[in-house]
Formats: sequence, C-alpha cells, structure tokens
Amino acid sequence: MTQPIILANDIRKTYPTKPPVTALAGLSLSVFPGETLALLGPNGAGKTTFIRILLGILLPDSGHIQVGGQDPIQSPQKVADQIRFVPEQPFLETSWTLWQNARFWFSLWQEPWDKKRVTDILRRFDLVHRADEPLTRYSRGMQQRAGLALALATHAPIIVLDEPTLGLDVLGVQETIDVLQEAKQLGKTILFASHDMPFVESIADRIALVAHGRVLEVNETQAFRKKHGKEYVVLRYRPHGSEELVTQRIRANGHFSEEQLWREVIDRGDSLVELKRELQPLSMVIQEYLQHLPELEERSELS
Amino acid sequence: MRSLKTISFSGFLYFYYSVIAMVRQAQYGIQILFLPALGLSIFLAVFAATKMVHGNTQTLFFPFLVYNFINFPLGAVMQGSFHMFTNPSRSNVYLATPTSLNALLGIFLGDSWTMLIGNLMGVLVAAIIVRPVIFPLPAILAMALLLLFLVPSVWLGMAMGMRLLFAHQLSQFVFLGLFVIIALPTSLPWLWVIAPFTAVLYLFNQSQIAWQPFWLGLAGTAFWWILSKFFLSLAYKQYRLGLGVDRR
Repeated sequence: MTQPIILANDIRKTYPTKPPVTALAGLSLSVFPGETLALLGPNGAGKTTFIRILLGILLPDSGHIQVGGQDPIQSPQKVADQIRFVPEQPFLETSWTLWQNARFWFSLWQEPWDKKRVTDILRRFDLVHRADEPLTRYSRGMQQRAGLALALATHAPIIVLDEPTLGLDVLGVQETIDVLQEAKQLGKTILFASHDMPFVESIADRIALVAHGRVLEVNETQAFRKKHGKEYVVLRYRPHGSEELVTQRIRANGHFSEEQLWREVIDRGDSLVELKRELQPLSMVIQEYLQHLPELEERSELS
Repeated sequence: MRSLKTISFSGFLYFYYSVIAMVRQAQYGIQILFLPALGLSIFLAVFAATKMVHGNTQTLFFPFLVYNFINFPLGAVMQGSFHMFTNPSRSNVYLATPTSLNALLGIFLGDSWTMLIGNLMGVLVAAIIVRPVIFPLPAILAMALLLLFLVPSVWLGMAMGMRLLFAHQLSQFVFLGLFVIIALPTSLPWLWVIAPFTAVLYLFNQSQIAWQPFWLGLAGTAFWWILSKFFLSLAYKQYRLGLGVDRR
C-alpha cells in the first residue's frame, strides 16, 4: 500500500493568547502522493493553523507530523525543499516582471535555474507572452496564477495552498481551477484549504471536513457529495451549556460541537430571515451558510 | 554555505530588480521628479546635520557610511519582525523556503541596500559641493531648514507611492544622532561604540590616531549586526510558538 506523503496524527495547538484560543484539538490526516486533498471548513476551523504547522513555521503543542518522511518541527528546512506554499494573496513582487520574479524565487527556493522548464510551464498557463511585463499590469487572478505557475515549475512534489480563491472574481476562480487541473496532470500532490465548496468540488480527489480543530470526516469527493448533498447553516451560539435550549427551539439535524451547530436546512422555505428571528432570543448568530451538493452553485456568508 | 550563497544572491537580485523597477516607474508622470528630489533632500539633510554637530561635510562622510551599515541590520530586523507579525500571510511564503528566516532577512537587506545607494549618492554630492565657508549657517537655522524639507519629502515620497521612503531614513539619521549627543556621556567614549554614527564623529574630532575611530566604528557595526540577528531569531522563536500571531 502507498505510504502517505503527509501524515499528521493528533495535532494540537492552543494559541497562548489571553484568553487562550484552541485552534487544533487533535487533528489527524493522511495525504497520499499525487492526490489533491481539500481541507474544507468554516472560518476559524483550524485549516490555516494546520498549514503553518505543516510548513514548520508554527510549533504544535503535541502530536506527530511528517512530510515526505521529514519532521517539519525538527527539520523545517528539509520539509521546505519538498513543499511550495502559495498563500491566499498574490505573493510575487508586483513591480517586477514575471521573469525577474521567477529568477528571484528560484533562488530562494534553491532550485537550479532552468529557463526552458519555466518557459514550458508559463506557456502551459498562457503567461509566457506577458512574462516581460511588470505584474502591476496583471489582474489579481493572473498574479495568483503566475505565483502558482512558478511554484509548479519547481521540482517540489507538494503544493500547499491557503484559500486560493479568496478575493477572486468568477473568472479568477476559473483560472485557478484551470491551473490546478494542470498541476494534477504534472503529478503533484496538492493540499489546499478552502471554504468554497464549488471550487473544492472542481479540484479535490478527497475532502477532509474540518471544524473546531479536528477532521470530522475524510471522504472521496463523489462520496462526500452523495453523503452531504444538503445545505447547512453553521450556527455559533453562546453562552456555553445552552445545547438543550437550542435543540428545543431549533431543529438540530446537524452536527453539534462546543460552540457551533451545523444545522441542516430542510427546505428552502426555511428562510434565513425566519431563522435569524428564532435565534435572536438565544443570542445565536449565523456564522456561515454552506451550501452543499446538489445545490452548490451559490454560497453565501452571513453574520 | 549554501544558505549564505542563496541569501546573498537573492538579496542582490532583490536590490537589482528593485532599482530597475524604480527607474522604470520614475519614467512616468510626476515620478520623474523623485530622483532630483531625493538628491536634494539628502543634500540638505547632510548639510544641516553637519551644521548641527559643528563639523564639516567631509568628516561626516565616514560616520554616515558607518551609520548606514549599522542601519542595514536594524532596518532589516525591524521590517522583518514587523512583517512577520503583522503580515504573516506574505511573510510565511518566505519563511516556508529552505533558508527560512534568512530569506526574510535577505529581502529586507536588499531593500536596505537600495536605500544606502540613495543616501550615499546624496552624501557624496554634499561632500564635494558643500563648503562651510560658502554656507555659514548657524546650527539652529540649519535644523529649521532641515525640518522644512523633511516634512514635504515625506509627503512627496508617500504621494509617489515609492518604497524608498528616504525621508524616513534621513529623519532617523538626524534625530538618532541628536539623541546620542545629548544622552551619552563624553567621559565614557567606549560607550559610544553602541551608537557609531556620532561615536565615530566624536572620536574623529577628539582622537589624534586615525585608525582608532575606524576600528571602533567597525566593531560597533559588527556588534549591531550580531545583536540584530539575535533579536530576529528571538522574534522568530516567539512567532513559531504562536505568540502574538494573528490566527488568520
């Protein structure tokens, strides 16, 4: 059986703030070579914290993690040789040309400069004809695409992306999907965090549902769709200990946890306005509205 | 060794590409005014600073150079640390490279080199042109002149959206010097090594041995480089623990 290229076991992390914030509460996950795995979950679920730990730039309180057989806690530099990280915002220097960025980032990534390989990748992503222009002339989506293309032009087997569609318009999202589809064909292992379900569905081979610092479920995209072909409203409620009250007042078909309730939307007639009215006396707010398959075409966040 | 090569090369690329980009941007619109404005501001700042310390521009040249070398690590550390905690999303891309913290340090060192070139040009011009005999301004008037030019310089720099906020550098240069003159005791010249800009100037004026201020300046510079790296490593250690880190 194939060994996982990323293996995380019972990772815990509490930020030493006042009051302390628990971001990861025993997250376990395996990612296999060549697959594309999405970390799907609402804001604050712990996705970004996990990525930082994976990259070796944040230390967990406990747990074990390995990337390509290396421990990012002990040997972050060896892990960095294997991973290219693309954040949610375009990271290239916008006043430079794409060629200049390529040269600079290859130097930082300690990759031997291979102009032919970079040219091939840029051509593949339809960027080569504009590679002599400064990035200030690119759209945001194009800048993000350029960053991804450079990351893919290296020999690193793993690409990690944090919210790659954040702030992108429909065209930008489509561009990102196209680039990642190409990346899959290159045989890269891709791990990305997102709460954009339609995007996740377009790319991922498997989906890990993350909430409250844990992986609630990992499933293949098709199976995930079949199982969760419903719409959910993620509710955040306070004060603590009001579960009984909540279940009495709200049809709680969803998933309960410390401060959140994933409530299934039974039908569209169950309007959000009505729901908000129900929640008001309970001091609850709608944190997020996730639409799962088969009605995935739209997703909205409410607060 | 591999890290050092990477950092020096990427730092050089950062500096080189930034200068090219700056010149390219300066070709358009009002930004063409930036370069002469930069030269003028530095010229006036150097001239005024010289007057304030009752020296002449020639003797200011070496301390100014030393000051800039000290300012590299300080500026790089300040910016590196600032970006790490306030803009983790972008900093993490650098921290996730094989050279990690040094990569972050490298780009800000590249940035500092860009600033040095501007400062150096100004001070060279000042050293050649300014003669105290020709411009016999009293110190207080020189300072007023400097302030008058510093404020619009900041506005000009910000309005142009330039990364090279030269006025910020100059204000540091002048006011740090003033602070040290007032704060440090003249009876303990060795203490002045921690602030080499004024220390070297002071020792130039006091000492009869030419090499003494040179070695002291060099020692002070090395001291700040080592201390700065130490502070940045400390900051990164805290960052890795999650102290002061924005969760997002």
